[in-house]
Amino acid sequence: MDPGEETRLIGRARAGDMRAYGQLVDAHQSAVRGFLRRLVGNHADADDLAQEAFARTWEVLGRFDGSSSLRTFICGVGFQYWRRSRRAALRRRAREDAYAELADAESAPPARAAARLALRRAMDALPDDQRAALALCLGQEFTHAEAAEALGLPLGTVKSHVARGRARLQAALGVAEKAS
Amino acid sequence: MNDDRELADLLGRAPPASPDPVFRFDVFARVTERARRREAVSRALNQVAVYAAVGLAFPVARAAGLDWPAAQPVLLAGGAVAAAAAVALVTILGPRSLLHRWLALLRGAF
Repeated sequence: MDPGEETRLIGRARAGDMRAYGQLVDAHQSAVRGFLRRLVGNHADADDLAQEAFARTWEVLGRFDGSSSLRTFICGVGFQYWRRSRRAALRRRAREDAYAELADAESAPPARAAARLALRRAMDALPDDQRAALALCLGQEFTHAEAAEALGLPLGTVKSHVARGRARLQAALGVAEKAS
Repeated sequence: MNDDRELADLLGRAPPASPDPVFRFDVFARVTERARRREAVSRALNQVAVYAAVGLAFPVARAAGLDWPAAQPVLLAGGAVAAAAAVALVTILGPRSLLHRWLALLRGAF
């Protein structure tokens, strides 16, 4: 979606036009859901968070000043939701994740499943900011500058988070490959 | 395997870029639900404020030295006005509007 069209749709959505906001949801849902899926690991939880982020963005659209892209803004909202819900999610995940990971692993070839589990564990062990920076930048859907805007971090911090996080994931993957 | 894209896919693949109408529908359902919840909270707060004001009115009046015989005419008039307002509101805006039902009955009669 070109910036002019996006600005026009945001203006209409601010005036209460749900159809315009629906078009914005359609345009950005893939990037936001992809980011949250990498961050959370569980697709259902990630999509729940993404829906909450879009719903909240509808309420606070008046505060969006256009200094960043709307996609970045929504990812920032999603990140804040994820942080807030993390404590409750940690309790729930103890019960559910074992089953979800097992289900995901069953559908993938064994070597790939082992790599996914090793990566997920390594990702879960990272600090929140580093994890979010990686989730945004690894898929190459967001630049470092966009990630810095979404997470409210300095650009240099994001770059170092991504470099260190990538190294830790690759190390985890090496362990997984040797194990399989 | 060390490629960033591959790592990202292993962590969680993004859904296709083509719009998912179910996702959009779920977002709208959440928007509606959040608005409903906000209205319910605001309604509840209004009720609490009204009941608290009514509850406070009597001790405040008493503290101001207003006793029952002196306040009786004012209270009776106020009560009558409040009752009339309540009846008018229920008639016009009530959950199953009385006015609407009476009009329907009249239309049926003639």
